[in-house]
Amino acid sequence: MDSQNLLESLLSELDIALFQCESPDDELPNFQLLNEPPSWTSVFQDIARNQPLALTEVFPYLEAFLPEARESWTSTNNSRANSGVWTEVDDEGNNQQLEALALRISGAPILVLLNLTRNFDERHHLYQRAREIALANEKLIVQLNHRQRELQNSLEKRLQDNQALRDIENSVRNNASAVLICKPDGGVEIMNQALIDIYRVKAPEDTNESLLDKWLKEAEKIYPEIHRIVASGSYWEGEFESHNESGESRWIRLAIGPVLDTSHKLTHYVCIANDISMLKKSSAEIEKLADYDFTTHLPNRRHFWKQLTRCLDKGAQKSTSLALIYVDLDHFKRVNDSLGHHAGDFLLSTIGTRLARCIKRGDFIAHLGGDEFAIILELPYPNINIENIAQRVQSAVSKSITIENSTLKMTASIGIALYPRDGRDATSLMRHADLAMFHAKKMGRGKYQTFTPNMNYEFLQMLQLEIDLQKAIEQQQFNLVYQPQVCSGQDHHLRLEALIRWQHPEKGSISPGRFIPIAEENGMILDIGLWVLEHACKQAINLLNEGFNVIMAVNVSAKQVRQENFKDLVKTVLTKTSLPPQHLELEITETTVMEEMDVVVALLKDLRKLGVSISLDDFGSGFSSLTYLKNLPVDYLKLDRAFIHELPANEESKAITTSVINLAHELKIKVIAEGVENQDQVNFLTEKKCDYMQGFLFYYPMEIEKIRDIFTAIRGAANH
Amino acid sequence: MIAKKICLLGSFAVGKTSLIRRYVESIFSEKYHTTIGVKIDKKIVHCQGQDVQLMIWDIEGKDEFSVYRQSYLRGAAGYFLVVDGTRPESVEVAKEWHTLVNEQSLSLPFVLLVNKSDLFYEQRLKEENLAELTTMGWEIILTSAKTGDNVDKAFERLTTRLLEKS
Ligand SMILES: Nc1nc2c(ncn2[C@@H]2O[C@H](COP(=O)(O)OP(=O)(O)O)[C@@H](O)[C@H]2O)c(=O)[nH]1
Ligand SMILES: [Mg+2]
Repeated sequence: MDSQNLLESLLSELDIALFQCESPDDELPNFQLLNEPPSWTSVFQDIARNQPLALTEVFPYLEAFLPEARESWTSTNNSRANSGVWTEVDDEGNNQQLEALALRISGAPILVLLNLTRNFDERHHLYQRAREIALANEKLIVQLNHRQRELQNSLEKRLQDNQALRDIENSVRNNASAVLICKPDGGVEIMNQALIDIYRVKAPEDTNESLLDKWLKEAEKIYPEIHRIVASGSYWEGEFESHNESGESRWIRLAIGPVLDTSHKLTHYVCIANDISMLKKSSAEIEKLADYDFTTHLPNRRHFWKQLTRCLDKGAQKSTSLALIYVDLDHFKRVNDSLGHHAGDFLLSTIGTRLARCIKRGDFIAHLGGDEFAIILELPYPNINIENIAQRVQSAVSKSITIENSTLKMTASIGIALYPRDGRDATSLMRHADLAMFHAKKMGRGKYQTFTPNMNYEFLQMLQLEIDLQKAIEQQQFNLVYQPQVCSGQDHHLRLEALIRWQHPEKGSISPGRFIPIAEENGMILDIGLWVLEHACKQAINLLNEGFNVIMAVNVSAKQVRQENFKDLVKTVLTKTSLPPQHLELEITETTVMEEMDVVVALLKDLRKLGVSISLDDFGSGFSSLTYLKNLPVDYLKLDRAFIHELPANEESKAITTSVINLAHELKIKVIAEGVENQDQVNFLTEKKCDYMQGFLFYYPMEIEKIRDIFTAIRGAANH
Repeated sequence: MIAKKICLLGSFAVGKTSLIRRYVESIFSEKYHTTIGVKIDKKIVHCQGQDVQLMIWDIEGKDEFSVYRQSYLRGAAGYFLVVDGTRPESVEVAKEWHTLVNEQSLSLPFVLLVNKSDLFYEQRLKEENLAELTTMGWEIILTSAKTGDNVDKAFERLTTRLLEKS
C-alpha cells in the first residue's frame, strides 16, 4: 500500500473528511473532498469525491462559521479555527455529532470535518452529570433561601411586636439555621445552638469581637457594599467564605435583616446563617469530574498521564525513583458477559476501592479504562522490594467478591516498570510496564512480572511461537509421552498419565510450560486438548487389547471444560476409539474447578455418569480449602509437587500432606503424590498410606514403546 | 421562500430543547438530556401572508463547560431568551446573554420566555423582577413546553417581530 492510500484509509478510519475550499471568497464557496469518504458521510446526501460541493448547504451550521474559517485560510501565522460541536440529523433520522476545523496547509484552504459520534456518549455523560449536579445545587440554594427568609420575617415580626426575648430564644433554640440577634452595637441578645456548634463561637460573654463585625469584614472582600447597606438599615444577603475560631474555613450563606421600631429607629439585627460548604464543594467537584472515571471514581487515563508526567518531572529534579504498576484483571470479560455489565461495573468499583486502599498516601492510582488500573509509587530507596507491593496488590484483587448471590475470585496480571531504570519518559515507562504485564499474563493468570530489557525480544519470540503453534497441529509436531503411576498397595490397574510434547522443527523440543499458556490464551488449547484426548484413548485401547489393564489419565484445561459440549466430545472420542470409559481418567486442575464451581461440579458429575473417573490436579496450589473437597465429585486427588518436594523436611508440608491424605480417605478419594524424587519421600508417603506415587524416582515420562516394554516386563515378573 | 435564523438562549435546563421539540415535533419528554454545542431544526411557518423557513438554533446552555462562539448569533434575525420560572438564577443568566448579544452589536428582536408555567406552585420569579424587565422594553411570554401552552404563540410572535423589522 503506498503512503497516499495508507493516509487516506487512516483518515477514513478516524472518521475524518478532508475538504479543500475552492473559492474561499465566494459567499457560499464550493468544496472538494480530498480523501476517500469515511463511512459516516454516506448518511448525508451529496457528499462524494471529485465533485464540487456546497458544504454550507449540506450543513447550514457551517455558514455561520465561514468568517472564522476564512480568517484562518488567509492568515499567515498558522492559526486555525474551530467550529465547535454541532448535531446534525442525517438522512436516516439519526443524530451525528460533527466538528469542523479550518486551517491552511501548504497554502491551501482546508476544512477538516470530524465525526465525533462514536465517542460522544462519554463526553455527553460528563456534561449531563455536571449539569445535573449544578441544577440540584441551585434548587437546594433556592429552598434554603426560602426557609431563611421565612425565618427572618417571623423573627423580625416578633421583635417588632416586642415579644419577650426568652420566648424568641426558645423558638429558635433547635433551629438548624444559625441564628444571631444582636443590638446595633453588636451586643448579642440571642444566639442559638446551631451557631455555637457550626461556627464554634464561644458563649456570648467571652466574645470580644462581635460576630457580626467579623462576618462583615469577611463578606466585604466579595461584597464591598455590605457596610453601606447594613448601616443604612437595609436587608442584605449573600455568600462568602468564613473562618471559625480554629481557623477552619467554610462557605456560609448569610442574611442580615435590620429591625426598625415604629419610629424607624434601628433596634436589632437578625442574622441567619447556613453552612453551604457542601454545595460549594460539589461545584468545585464538577470541574474535577472530567478527570475521574464514572464507574470507579478513580482518576482516569487523562488524569493519569498528567500525574505520571508530573511525577517523572519531580523524580528527575529530586532524583528519586518511581514504580509504575500496571494491573490488568484476568478474565474480566467473562464476568461482564455472564453476569451483565452492572455486575462488571460493581466488580470494577469494588476492586478499584480495594486497590486504592492498599496504596499509601502520596501514591497514585488510576482506572485507565476497561479492566486496567495503574499505580504510581514513589520509592523511598531504589532497591525496595517491589514484590511485596505486587503481592499486596494481587491479594487485594483476589479477595472474594459477592455479586448477586455468586461469589467470585478475581486475579490480575501485574506488570512493573521502574523509573529511571526501565524508562525515563512517561511513554516508554508505560510501554514497558504494559509489556511486563503482558508477559505476566502469558505466564498464566494471577502473576506479576517486573520489566526486563529482553522482554522486547521475548515478546517477539512469543509472537513467533504463537504463529508456529498454529502450524504444529497441522504438521503433527506434537506427540505424547506417558508416565506411569506406582501403586503403594495392591492394584490390578496399570496407571499412566499422558503428557504432551512439542518437537519444533527448528527450535527442538519446547516444554508444555511455555506453549500451553499461549494455547490457553488464544484458544488453540481446544484443538490441542482434543488431539491429546483422542490420541491417548487410542493408545489406551491398544494397550488394553494387548492385555494390559490400563487407566489412562489425560489433562484437561479450563477452556476445554468450559466448552458447552465438552461431555459430548468425550463421549464421541470414547465411541470412536471404543475405549471403555472406566479406562479413562480426566485430570482437572483445582483452579479450573474453583473458578466456576457450580458449573464444573455439574459437568464432573455428568462425566462420572459416563463411567470416566476424575482426578483433581495440582491440589493445594490454589486457594481452595479442604472443606470444598467433600462437595467435589472426584475419585483421585493429585497432591501438588510443591508439597512433595519439601517432604519430609518441612513440617508444614508434612502436616498438610498427612491431613489431606486422611481427609481424602475419609471421603473415599484416593491420593496420588506427584514429583516423587527420593526415597525419604517414598517412606513418608507410604507410612501415611498415600495410594499412588508418580515421579522421576520411578519412571520418567516415556514413549509408548518403552511403556509397552515395561508393562511386558511387569507382567513377566508377575507370571513368575 | 425566505429563511430566517432564530436562536434560543438561556441557562441550561430551562427548557430550550423542549420548547423546540414541542414546536417542531409536538412532543415533550420529562427526561433531561443536556445539549452539547448546537442543533439546528427547521420549520416552515405561515406568517403575514408568506411562508417563512425558520432555522431554529438550539444553543447549549451557558456554563463553565461550554464555550460561547460568535458564530452562534451570526446571521440571526431574532432570538428567544429562555428562563425557568422556578429558577430565579436563570433570569440572571438570561440577562448575561442579552448583554452578550448587545456586545456583538446586534440589535435584534427578541422575546423572553418564562418557561415551565405548568409548575404553578413552584414559580419563584418575583413579580417585581418581571416588571423590571418589562419596563426595560422586554416582551415576556409565559410558556410551557410540557403542556404546549403559548409555545406556538411565542414562535409566531417572534416571527412577526422579525418580519416587521426586515
Ligand atoms: N414541567 C416542565 N418541565 C419542563 C418544561 N420544559 C422543559 N422541562 C424539563 O426541564 C428539563 C430541561 O429541559 P431541556 O429542554 O433539556 O432544557 P435546555 O437545557 O434548556 O435545552 C427537562 O427535564 C424537561 O423535561 C416545561 O415547560 N414544564
Ligand atoms: Mg438543550
